[in-house]
Amino acid sequence: MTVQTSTVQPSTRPKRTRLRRALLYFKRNPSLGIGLFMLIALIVFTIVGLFQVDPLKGYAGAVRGSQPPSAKYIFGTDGQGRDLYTVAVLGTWVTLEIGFIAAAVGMGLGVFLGFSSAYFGGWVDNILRWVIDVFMTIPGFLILIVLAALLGGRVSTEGTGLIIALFLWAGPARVVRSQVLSLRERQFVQMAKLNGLNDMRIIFEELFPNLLPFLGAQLISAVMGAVYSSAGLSILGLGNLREPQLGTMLYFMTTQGAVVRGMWWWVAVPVVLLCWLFVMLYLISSGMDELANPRLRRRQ
Amino acid sequence: MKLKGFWGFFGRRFLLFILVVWSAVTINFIVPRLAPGNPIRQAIITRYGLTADQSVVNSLVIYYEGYFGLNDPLYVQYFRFLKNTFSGDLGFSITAYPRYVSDMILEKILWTLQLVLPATLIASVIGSLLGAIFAFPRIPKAINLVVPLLILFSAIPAFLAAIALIYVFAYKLDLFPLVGAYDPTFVPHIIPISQWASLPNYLHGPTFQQILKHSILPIAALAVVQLGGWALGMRGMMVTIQGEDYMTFAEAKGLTDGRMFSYTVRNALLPQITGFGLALSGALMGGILVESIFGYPGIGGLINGAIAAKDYPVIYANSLILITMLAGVTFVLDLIYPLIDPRISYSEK
Repeated sequence: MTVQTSTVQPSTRPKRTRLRRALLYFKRNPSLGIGLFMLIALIVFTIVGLFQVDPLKGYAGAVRGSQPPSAKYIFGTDGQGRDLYTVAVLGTWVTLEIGFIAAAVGMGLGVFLGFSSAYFGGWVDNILRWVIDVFMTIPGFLILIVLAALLGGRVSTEGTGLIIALFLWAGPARVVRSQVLSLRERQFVQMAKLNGLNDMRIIFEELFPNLLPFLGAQLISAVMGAVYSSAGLSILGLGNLREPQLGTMLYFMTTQGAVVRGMWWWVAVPVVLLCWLFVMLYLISSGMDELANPRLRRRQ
Repeated sequence: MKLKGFWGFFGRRFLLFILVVWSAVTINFIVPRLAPGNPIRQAIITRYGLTADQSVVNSLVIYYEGYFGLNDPLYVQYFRFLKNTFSGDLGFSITAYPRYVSDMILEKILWTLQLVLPATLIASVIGSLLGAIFAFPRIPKAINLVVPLLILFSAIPAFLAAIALIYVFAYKLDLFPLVGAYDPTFVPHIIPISQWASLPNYLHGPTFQQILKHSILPIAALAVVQLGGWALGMRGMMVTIQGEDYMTFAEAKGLTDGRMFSYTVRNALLPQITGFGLALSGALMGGILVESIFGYPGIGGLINGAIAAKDYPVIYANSLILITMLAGVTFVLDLIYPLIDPRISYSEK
């Protein structure tokens, strides 16, 4: 029979610092870890780049065209005389900016309407549900083509974002609606109601905090949709063709035959960066989904 | 009785379909009227040049405004627009006046469907197969390493895949043509829809070979980005079904792995049908962009040309027809799905 000699054993494990905990979490949720790592890499790339590039070189005719990568132009230059390194540094963020404007506005609208629909119920809910269903069924991109064609190439970055937002709200609205419907029945909300809290306080103090991580995941996937739409519009020649952004690069690259001219660097820069953005956003969004809803974790 | 909730379900779905089409039509009515400038004057100037005699242009503008009824009150125009649209008259093209927009689109849409449908079918079959294999308990672990790769592919839009495929397979390796649906010097023998009975003979002809050769890369681009979605959906469904009581029962009876697997696949396959409408819609949007990249003469090519030529009626009508088509597909799939899958009933819950 063994006798316990000491009740308190000094912990041999190193203290779990915040960083260590985060790293351990990323091991469980690799999507989020890799996605955030890709984001950090992109930020570092941009910061380093900002010290090196002259923003004016991102516009057509600024440098000698069709130069392969060299010490002077490390990513080469395109057929119209843009320095591709400058475009890569600045354009990636212009592209993301459109995505974020669209997603933020679309999400704001979606969250507001989703909340109203679920919280007030009745005829508000009935009407909104139909509107949401219609917007979910209409392929928004087709209407975007119509609107953007009408506005021609005159749309600014922010304008493009706002137009795209028009077709981004329905998805979040539906999701928020169903989440609020389930939260509304929980006891803490019932309790708050009994305590005489008004609607606004219940929404902002009781419901909203519970939805935050969930909304984060939705926001990122909305950004992804917006980047897709803006790149798609650019390919059709409907974006802002003057500003250096990745979609515009795709447009000029395809219309001016970068492939047949064998200018692999012109093809590679926008394609690689856009793939980077899409994969990054996808990983962060599915990682955040898991963070928000651990029960959805893969059953294995 | 299974069909009990059918009419309520049908009514709701049909109303949704009508609302979607009506919204699209209404947007197509409103948007051009918000546009700055006078489209008729623009069209006339494009035809006769800026140097044309202004008084002639002005009288032509007045004549055509009357001809198209643009001086009527807005609501009269709106109802006329609704009537015309629902009777299939989508107006004229500006650049190809007096060609009907609907004719131009019908001519092109087969090219697009010819890419989008095979791509979606191939992706759904291969993707579901992969998903089923991933969920099979006795597969080597190495195969599971393919899963993250497929997921990554599903995050990438088809147009980027298209560019990469063109660069590698058409330019570097020179295995496939770079652009178009047939060689520029080739005159395709297109058979009208009325003679489609002779389609089998056509499969041996040069037209078919040309079209096949040119379709492989766009179809591959559209299919590869869908694979991940289909595979993940299938795997998820397989895992759910493996957890069902009847599967435990089957295992307890001592059924072989192979038989268990085939039961699971058969049960998991049906819900994949619901994904078809969504996948088709995505592939069609992707197809428009992939076509612009390949210079393919389908709807995407038409939209691209119309945008360059500022031929707005063509752009509007394209979006209207595609929206109607997709809403129709969703509606039909929603309706027939409960018929093929006995586990689903028409009632809402």
